[in-house]
Amino acid sequence: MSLAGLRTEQLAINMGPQHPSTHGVLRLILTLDGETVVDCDPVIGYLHSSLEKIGERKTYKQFTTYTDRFDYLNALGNNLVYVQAVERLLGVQVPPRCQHIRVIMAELNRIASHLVYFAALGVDVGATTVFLYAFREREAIVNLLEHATGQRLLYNYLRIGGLRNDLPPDFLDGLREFLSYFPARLEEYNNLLTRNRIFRARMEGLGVLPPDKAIEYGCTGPVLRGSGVAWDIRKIEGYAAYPEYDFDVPVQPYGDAMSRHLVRVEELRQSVAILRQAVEKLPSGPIRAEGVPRVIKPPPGEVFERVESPRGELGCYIVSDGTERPMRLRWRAPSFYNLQALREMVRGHLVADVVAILASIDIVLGDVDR
Amino acid sequence: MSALARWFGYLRSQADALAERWHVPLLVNDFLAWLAAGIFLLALITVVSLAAIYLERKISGYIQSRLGPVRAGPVGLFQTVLDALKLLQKEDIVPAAADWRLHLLGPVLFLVTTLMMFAVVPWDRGVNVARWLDLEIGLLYVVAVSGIGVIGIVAGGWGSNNKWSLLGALRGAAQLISYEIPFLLAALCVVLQAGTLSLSSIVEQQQAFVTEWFLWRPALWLAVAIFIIAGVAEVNRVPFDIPEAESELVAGFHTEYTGMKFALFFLGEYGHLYVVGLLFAVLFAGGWASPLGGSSLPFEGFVWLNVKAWAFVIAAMWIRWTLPRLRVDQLMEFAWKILIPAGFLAVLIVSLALM
Amino acid sequence: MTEEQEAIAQAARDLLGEALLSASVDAGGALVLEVRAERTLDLLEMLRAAVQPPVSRLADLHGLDDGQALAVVYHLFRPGEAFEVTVKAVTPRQRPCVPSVMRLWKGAWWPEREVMEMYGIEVVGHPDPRKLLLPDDWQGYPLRKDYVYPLDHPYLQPNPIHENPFVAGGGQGADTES
Repeated sequence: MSLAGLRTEQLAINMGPQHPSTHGVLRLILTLDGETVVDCDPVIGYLHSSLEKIGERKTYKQFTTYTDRFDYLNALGNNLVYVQAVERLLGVQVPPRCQHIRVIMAELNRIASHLVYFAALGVDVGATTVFLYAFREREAIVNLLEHATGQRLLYNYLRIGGLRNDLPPDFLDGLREFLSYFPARLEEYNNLLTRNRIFRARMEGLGVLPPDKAIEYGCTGPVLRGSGVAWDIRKIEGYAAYPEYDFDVPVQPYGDAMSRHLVRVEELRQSVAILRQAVEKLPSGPIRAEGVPRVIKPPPGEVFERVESPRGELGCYIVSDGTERPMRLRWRAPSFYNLQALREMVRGHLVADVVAILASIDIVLGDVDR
Repeated sequence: MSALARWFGYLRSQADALAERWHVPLLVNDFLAWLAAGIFLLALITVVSLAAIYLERKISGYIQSRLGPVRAGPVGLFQTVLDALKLLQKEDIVPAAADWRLHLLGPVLFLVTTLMMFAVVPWDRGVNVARWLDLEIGLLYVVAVSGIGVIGIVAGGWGSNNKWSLLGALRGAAQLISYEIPFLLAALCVVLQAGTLSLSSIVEQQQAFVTEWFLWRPALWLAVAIFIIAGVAEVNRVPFDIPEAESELVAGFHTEYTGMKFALFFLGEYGHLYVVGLLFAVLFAGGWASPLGGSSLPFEGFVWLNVKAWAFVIAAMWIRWTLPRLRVDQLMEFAWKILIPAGFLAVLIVSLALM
Repeated sequence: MTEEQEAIAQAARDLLGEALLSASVDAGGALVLEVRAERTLDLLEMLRAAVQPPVSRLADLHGLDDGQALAVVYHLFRPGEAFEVTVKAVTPRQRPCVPSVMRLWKGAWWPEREVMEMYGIEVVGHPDPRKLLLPDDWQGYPLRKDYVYPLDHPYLQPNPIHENPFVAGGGQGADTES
């Protein structure tokens, strides 16, 4: 019997909504030819909470609490994009101290989110110790943020026209202390993962995404910058106080999982640099803009506001019809667009690689499903 | 009948030798001697597994800057005992469409083969539980029995009636079989050096610490490295733990096991790790020989053997909690393309050094 | 409106004539062009090709319901810059349909599926018109203004284990108006 006469079939395998890997409730339907993945169809919606519809029912002030819940690892960034959008509709300028504090909060959130990426990646790849180390550092950040905002994960700290409260007096000392030991620890984790032969064998050459496909699918953030395209909304739009800070945008040319990982590691270092500058530069002054009405009714109009979340370009589009509730509130979620490109990235890889590729995109299901 | 009497006579003389060696009162009769040996082994593997699991949790805790078990007894010492008791009283669930005989055979075979490996280990001078079985081929026996253990894994995977378990079991079997070859090649180097397959003779040749331990012979260093790597792979530990950890994101061949059967898999796994540690001590580090010179205290040889074996076990745990996991094809590639040629090279080096 | 935006609006007017319903600037300074849904692809291709430098990056695609008409909104940017053009493809409520832009951007795959299920706008030519976020058997189009919540849907019934014995009729309160 010759091999040519053998009938082969493609097998459809389900990586169900519950994963041992920690990315949330995502279902992947993989079509396999033997061990190789031919196609991948993500099924999402398990975490859909119709937050955009809720946005049409709540007033502008009430909705700030909901914004944390989209990408819950980047709650302050979500606050930021929404609050900036409404401020632009109102035509309100916030004072400089508030802008700088917003930068500090956004960068702390970025570090915390990338540490969670490290942790989940470690677990997926088999190095469970990295999970514990990353969360130990994140605990320091979360304690700082709890000191400032009162909350550990869903902060609801930014308000339309300013902040909820000013930073407590010893916040900056705590931040300086964190910044004094964190870069050395980062090098330690780098040694554990990035410079490890086994880890590199697992991640190099995996999930290659060419830059033109990345742009076409709407990928942004480390996924795009790992493919060689140096777009960062902090530089493009220059929102909050970012134009006053000196930082680089890391870019890697190869487009594989290792490139995306290296981009995130470098982003951690850049965030530390920004925080160091912020701690010196923080001006004093009021933290709320004047003239923000108690009942917020922006004039009719629309705005599309973008910030750089740890996952990519986070956008908020608000259409106001003059009442105290938005007519339309749209959340441009970076993970939603990044996850579409998974189909391109896993073609031709083994099943065991799908986990590593998914970890390297770093999605949060709250963003994908809203 | 006379052969049996000769057997028992021999066992009695062994029991007498043990009693004399360890300065304990003579045992009452041959049956008790035989029973004591069996109970000793079973107790040993239970205590060893419980201790190994406890050590694993504590060591992993301290590596990960957390405490590990602390509540059950002082520094959490009773944790694994209580876990074992918990597993004992759990319901034994066999999937309805599964083959219950294979489902039962899997963990039983796995544990029994591990126990069988304990039988040939020389615990002290002149003390060898299975001496009367003519184990001049002790090393060959150990490797052969560990090969049988693979059947236990496949039986477990097939008997679960679960596609993922079967795939995990087949991968585990492929991994174990592949890594047995470099394991055997490294052991072969020791055989060449010592000139015998008998484990107690190998230990007899390594009595003096500095000059005679095989660990210090440069010709054997490649064999030592291969033995350690293949030994860790034989026990399914990270970086080689595809069968039980990842396996397409489901829990591998022991997914469908509950209660005591699951505990048997665990006991077998940690027992096997301990046996590989014992083999390392016996083959390379002088077994029960004390590094401080001749041993005269009772039980001293036994203690030294355990010190060396547990050093290996702790090192294996340290490796586990540091390194990431190899993907299945990388693992097989490593075994066949790197370790096996290295094993042949090691044999060649030892042969040349002995000429 | 800046000169550049004025030029783009004029080019759109020349191309589309009456199909261009309006051209304005939003609160963030972006150009907003409203077009009839049938001519959407013409306008998008003009922005990608005829405008120099081209506005060719699709950042977001979603639907919009202002009470009268339905629309699909495309947020287009110059690659790597902050220059934005928002295109609204307006379509009537009775039989809403827009052409699919997947042949221009593969990244429209999921957003157009979401528009189809949330607004009921038919995206003509989409190769994969399945539901994305909602369960496969969901009736109705949730993001429309006239959507009525199916309070008797099995997924929306209170779980009996949440019954509160101290409140008549169980403890599951209705969602209050804010």
